[in-house]
Amino acid sequence: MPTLPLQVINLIADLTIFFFVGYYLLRFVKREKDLEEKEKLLKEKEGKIDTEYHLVVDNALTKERKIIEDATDQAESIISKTEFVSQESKEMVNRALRQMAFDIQKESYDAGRKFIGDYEIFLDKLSVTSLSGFQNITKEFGTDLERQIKEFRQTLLPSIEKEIEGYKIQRLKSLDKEINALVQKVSQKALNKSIPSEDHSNLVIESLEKAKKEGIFD
Amino acid sequence: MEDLDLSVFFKTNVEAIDFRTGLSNISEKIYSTDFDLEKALIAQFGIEKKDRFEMLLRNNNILPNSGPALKDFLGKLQEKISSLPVISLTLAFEPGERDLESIFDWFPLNINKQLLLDIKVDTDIIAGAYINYNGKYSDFSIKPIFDQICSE
Repeated sequence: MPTLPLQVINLIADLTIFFFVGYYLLRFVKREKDLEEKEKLLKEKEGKIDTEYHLVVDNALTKERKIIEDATDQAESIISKTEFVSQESKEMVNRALRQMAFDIQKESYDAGRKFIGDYEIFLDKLSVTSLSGFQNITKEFGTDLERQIKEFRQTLLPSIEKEIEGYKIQRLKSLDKEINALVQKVSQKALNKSIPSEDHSNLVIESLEKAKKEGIFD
Repeated sequence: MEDLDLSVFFKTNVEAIDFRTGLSNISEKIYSTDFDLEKALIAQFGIEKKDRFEMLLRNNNILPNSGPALKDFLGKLQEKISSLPVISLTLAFEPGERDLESIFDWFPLNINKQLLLDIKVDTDIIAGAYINYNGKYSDFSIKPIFDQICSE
């Protein structure tokens, strides 16, 4: 059995495997060292960036405070100026209003005086013209009224009198009828009550006698 | 049976109906074990009418304890009451017992008939009566005479 070639092949294969394993171990160690160096570099960069960041933030805060302080100063200045202006304006407006009220009062007084004067003149004129007008109207009214009364007497009055007379007759007739009916009803009741029970009974027997004679019971 | 005088029991149509109903009630109980005619008559008509009814039984030779005879007699009485003619009278006054009696008694005495009275009251007729019998109607009241006098 040829074992030697196999053993040689086996040895070569083992050697190859060891070689590869060793090679990869070396590469791994080297890569790890590279990574550690990169990490160190990154940490340095990070420290630097952090320092710069704090510097920028501090600057910004300082500037911000400065801006706020400036703005506050300006606002205070504006408010104090405004108050002054407002006070001044108020006084001006009050003065103007007082002046306006005085002017209006004066104008009203003048206008009122003028109106009263005009009205007095107008009334004087009116009383003169109205009196004569009124006299004319009264005269016309009187004439018209007389004419209407005359017409009423001539045309409407006779017909109204006739109607009233008719109504009177009708009403009297109706009353007569009602009175008669009432008298009749009362008399009936009175007569009915005035007859004694015995007489009533006798009249019923009489009625039966009459009925017998008339042949009602045949 | 024809000569039975029932005027002591009723005079008007309404009374006759009540009496007939009482007879019918008694007739239904005749064969009951606890039937007592005297008690039944008192219950239906009262003591006075009970005595008169017992007299009526004696006059017609009916023994109170004879069930079939009694039942037959009660039946005949009911038939007679149903066959009695009715006269309708409108009067001008409310008649009392004596007035009703005199009117009621007039019929057997004058026309040989027993009639039941159907009384109505109308004071407007003043006096007298309206009579309505067997489809015939007559006005014997004072009202037409009074109306005539008033119209004159």
